[in-house]
Amino acid sequence: MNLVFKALSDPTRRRVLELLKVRPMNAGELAAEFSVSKPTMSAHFAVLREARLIVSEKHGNSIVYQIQLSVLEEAMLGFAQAFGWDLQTGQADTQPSSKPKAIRP
Amino acid sequence: MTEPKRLPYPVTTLSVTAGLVVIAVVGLAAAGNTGVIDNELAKRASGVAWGVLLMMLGNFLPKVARPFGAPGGSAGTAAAERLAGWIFVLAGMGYIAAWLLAPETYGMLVSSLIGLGAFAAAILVWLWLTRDGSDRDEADAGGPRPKGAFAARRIMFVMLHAVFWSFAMFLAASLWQAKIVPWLAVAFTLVNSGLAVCLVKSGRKL
Repeated sequence: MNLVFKALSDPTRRRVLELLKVRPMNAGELAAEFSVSKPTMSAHFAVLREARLIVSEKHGNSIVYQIQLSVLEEAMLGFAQAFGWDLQTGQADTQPSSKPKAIRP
Repeated sequence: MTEPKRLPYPVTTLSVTAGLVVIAVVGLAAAGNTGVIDNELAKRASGVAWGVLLMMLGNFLPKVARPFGAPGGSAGTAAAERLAGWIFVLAGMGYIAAWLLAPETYGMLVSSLIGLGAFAAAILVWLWLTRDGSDRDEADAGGPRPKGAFAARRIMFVMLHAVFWSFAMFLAASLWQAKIVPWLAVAFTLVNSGLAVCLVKSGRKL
């Protein structure tokens, strides 16, 4: 559950999940929605995969991501979006398995 | 990077939950019949356990999503399964509330109607959201699929099927007493066995 909280605490990752709720998308399509570098986006994907919120599958030359939220996790996503969860460090934590210092509402 | 070839974790959680519910129901029935606890309390506690199982199944239903590009889906399949998950979770809460709050004579009837109503609603939602019938996913250009991807869906389907039949038997018991329940139990065993065989055979092709 800590991994889920950490994954949902970043607004970029929450936006990724909102996009994937509409349809599965490949890495390029997702990266085009954000003004961050591809390595940063890859790190975000890794955090979401580690929390088991998305799954990835290789299709040809691209990797396709699909959302995999339980009802509880979807409710937490909505709660986080509504109340703007963010890490207290003030910048997105893009390292998989690194412990967030705190989560502020 | 593809996912590792293993069963998604909800399968283990669901299997453990289902096992605990069965143990709880059997234990409560035995305790009620032997007078260890009041029979009515045993029935209500069993009902709560079934409601918890329905909520768990609904919670994890969207977690066992159909693999992208797999045949047989449509544009609304993922949305339908996500909505069905919410329906089962909310119905599970209603099922528990019915067992806790309804009068003794109506607990099984009301809760069974809620449970069966949830399945009807989920089917209607699925039919509505997948009505276009077209598979919008790209043609499958990926590598071999992890076997766990479809195994989890089959297990989820079998569990939901068993819960549906249980609610039907509870409803039949409350309406027609115990006369029809043994026949329903036989029918459930036959149908579920046939279903399991078909699912296993179809799984070997993937």
